[in-house]
Amino acid sequence: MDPKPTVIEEPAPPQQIVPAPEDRAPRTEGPPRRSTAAEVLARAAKRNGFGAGVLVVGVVLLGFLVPNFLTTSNILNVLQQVSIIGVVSIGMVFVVLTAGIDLSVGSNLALTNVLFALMIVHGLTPWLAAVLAVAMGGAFGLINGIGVAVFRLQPFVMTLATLATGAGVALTIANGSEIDFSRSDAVVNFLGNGGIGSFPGEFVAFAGVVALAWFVTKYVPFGRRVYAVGGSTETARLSGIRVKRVVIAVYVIAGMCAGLAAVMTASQLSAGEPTAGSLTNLQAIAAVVIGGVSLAGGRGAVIGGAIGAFVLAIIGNVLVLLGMNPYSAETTQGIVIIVAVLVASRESREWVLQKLRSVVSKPVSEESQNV
Amino acid sequence: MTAEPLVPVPRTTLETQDLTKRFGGIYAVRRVSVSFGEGEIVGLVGANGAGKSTLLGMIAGAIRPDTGQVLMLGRPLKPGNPIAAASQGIAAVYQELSILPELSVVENLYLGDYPTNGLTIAWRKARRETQRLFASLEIDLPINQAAGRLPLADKYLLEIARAVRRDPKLLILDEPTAALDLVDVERIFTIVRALARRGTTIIFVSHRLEEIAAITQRVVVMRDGTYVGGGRTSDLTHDELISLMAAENAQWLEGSARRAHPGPTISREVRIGLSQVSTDILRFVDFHADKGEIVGITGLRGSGTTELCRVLAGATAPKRGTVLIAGRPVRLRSPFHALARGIGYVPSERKSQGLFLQLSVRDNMILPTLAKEHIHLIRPSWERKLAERNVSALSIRLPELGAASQVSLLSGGNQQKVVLAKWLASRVDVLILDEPTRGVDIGTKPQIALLLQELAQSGMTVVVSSSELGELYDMVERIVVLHRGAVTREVHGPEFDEEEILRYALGASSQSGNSSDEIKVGVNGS
Repeated sequence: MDPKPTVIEEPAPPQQIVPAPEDRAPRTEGPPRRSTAAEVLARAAKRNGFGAGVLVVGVVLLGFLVPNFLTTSNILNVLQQVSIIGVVSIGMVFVVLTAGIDLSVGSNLALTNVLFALMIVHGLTPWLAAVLAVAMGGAFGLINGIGVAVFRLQPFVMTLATLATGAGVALTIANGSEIDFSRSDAVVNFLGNGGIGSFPGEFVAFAGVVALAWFVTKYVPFGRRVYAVGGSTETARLSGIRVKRVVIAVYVIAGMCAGLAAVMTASQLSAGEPTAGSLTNLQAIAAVVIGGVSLAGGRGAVIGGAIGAFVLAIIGNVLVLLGMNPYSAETTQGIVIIVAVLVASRESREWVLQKLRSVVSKPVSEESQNV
Repeated sequence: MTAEPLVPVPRTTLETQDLTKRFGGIYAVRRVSVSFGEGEIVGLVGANGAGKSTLLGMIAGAIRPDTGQVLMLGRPLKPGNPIAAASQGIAAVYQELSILPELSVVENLYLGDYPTNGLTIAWRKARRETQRLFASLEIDLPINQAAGRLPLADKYLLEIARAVRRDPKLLILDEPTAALDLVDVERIFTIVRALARRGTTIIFVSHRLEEIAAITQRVVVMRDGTYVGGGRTSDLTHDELISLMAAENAQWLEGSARRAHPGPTISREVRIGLSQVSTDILRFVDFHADKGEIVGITGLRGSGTTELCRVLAGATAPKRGTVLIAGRPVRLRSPFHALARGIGYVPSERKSQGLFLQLSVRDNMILPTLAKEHIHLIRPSWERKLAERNVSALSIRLPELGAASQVSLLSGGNQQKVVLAKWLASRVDVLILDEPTRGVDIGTKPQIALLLQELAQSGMTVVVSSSELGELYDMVERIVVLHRGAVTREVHGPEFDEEEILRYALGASSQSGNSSDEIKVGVNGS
């Protein structure tokens, strides 16, 4: 140590909390060390595939425990059930990645599916009506995005307001009752009743949305910017990102996803139902959280939203198969959500792993002192 | 170094013995022994990073010393325990206000320590005592008003009143006047003198030497974490103080990374400039930086160096004046527009403004390039190569996952290299750096300096703001000195006179005629 240092530092700000000290040390070349069990676990827990792994294990377990769960017809049933909430969840992932939240997707769904039904009733070609409905969903999202990005309203407040407004407008337009139409058209039939082979049409649409969203986050600059804005708005701005545009765009995406979900809902019911989607908001948020996307923004993956939607759908399905009455089913679902989030959330996983680590491998902490 | 008793002090209130504190192997405070007498007003001065704050933090119990101890009235104080320090009669007012703006003056004063009638708060008693306290301090504040609506000077008065309420024996005032004008400073002085008459010891920190001259009886000077001298205020001249504060010419780069050649003096075209730019902080700043040049900016904390960097980087829009790029006026409405014109910005707050801590090294590096080069689709091979190229060009040391590692796992120096890499990857022509070596380990600092020189030699324009003068000397050709938002001096290298720079950073004006608010040190105000 230089006896007379010429550079004096200000006291360093407290280091941010990093999971485990031994992971911070830069690895130098040397004989490969044998990994301890705790390290293997820790690495597994960090991978995105963790949630998927839990899901697969859970499904296999359920297959043994619950009668009729692993039958073709039930699986197709689950695929159909997961799709609508899944599409909305994918849109929600984008919003949550920017540290925002969209409470209005359910109202958006209700309003858009009424409008979709009206367009068909008034003789518009259904495929065009479907495209317009998605665009209308996007327009609804645009309003949210402008409120949040331009007028700087808290996402919670802005979307709470459009939640109420959207639901009211939907009921007003529909006059409080559902708008029936016939399911004769190919588009409507595909999304509501048909499919490719035995795969339900809804699920095909859902899979398409997941693939597109995955592509955007991996290969399109916009996807990277979403993560950047969620990680640190200020850093994003100073890195030359137009933060407002990104924020507006994610709400438009969430709106378009809600619009597509609305078309799917209306096609299933062959009606525009102004009270549809009342549970959608919370389910979509729950799915995103279960999927390991951090509500603080910047952390998580599109596939997580899909996994979360599957977890919810499977829970609902199993409770029906077990013959639970609908009221207790809803209660149970809430409890299971908490458990699922605890299992899936990074923080709690790390907490558990840290406990494990301190029990399993005491000596490891010794070498981490000199980092 | 130890302090010999300089002035016959009255009864000693507080004494430090060999206080030492290191942060990451670097001494912030080194074996400092000073004492403070009853009713004494002592000025603590030193340049940025001299260790003043660390020393005060140890006295107030906010920082635990590595070695040494603090004696309060002869009894050792429990180290690193702010509550113990407070109960022993040590109070502190810092530059950052800590009042709660929504609460009233009375509520702020008592905060969590209200007088009670059994279960309920005795508001009447609280108000009466507040008024008594204010009367004794000769201050007049509307006691029921929300504290946030008070003028700035009154907020500081409230802070001081809060510290004084419990009758401290020692009061630390850490730059309480930095944001105030002369009249308000005088109000603070009135209180300080009143307290000292009552026997309270005051440690007064200020960068304004005229204030030190006006209010203190004794001065303690720190430099590089050590006590370097002091004495009776009236015995010290302005210039003596400055030369005590200035480090002897630090051989910071030990010649190895010294400017090898002054750079092939390529055609000197001005690349970026400011003309009469004013913001909330800056006042009529003229500035220019040429192609292939490294320009230094320096000034004391709050002098506007960061603001100047932000204006150049498009992060703060000027209220008045023009930004010129290649001689043509432009509007840099946002960092996005600055980036489009080839300007990159390395902010001083690395963790909150320079990096996305939760993202990977690769993601951090790639973002500006995506915008600058109008990328529509990210090819994984292109992305990987870009990261690899920059990691090896800057010799960034990465954890086992390589460029896919989360950037928060890197050391400070390597994190800073990632910030640099993200701009180098996007091939900017102008790089603005605010305190680029802050929190960077001592081994990496010369690497960064060398890199900046290479960049300048290849034609890039580099603007470096730093409060560590030693590192600027060896890097830059020219230093622009700021004081309270205005450029007071532009000093040209290759040899720099630290005393001269400090004098201008402390507010000497380059036009000798304008000396109205200069007060000669030596004329003691008290």
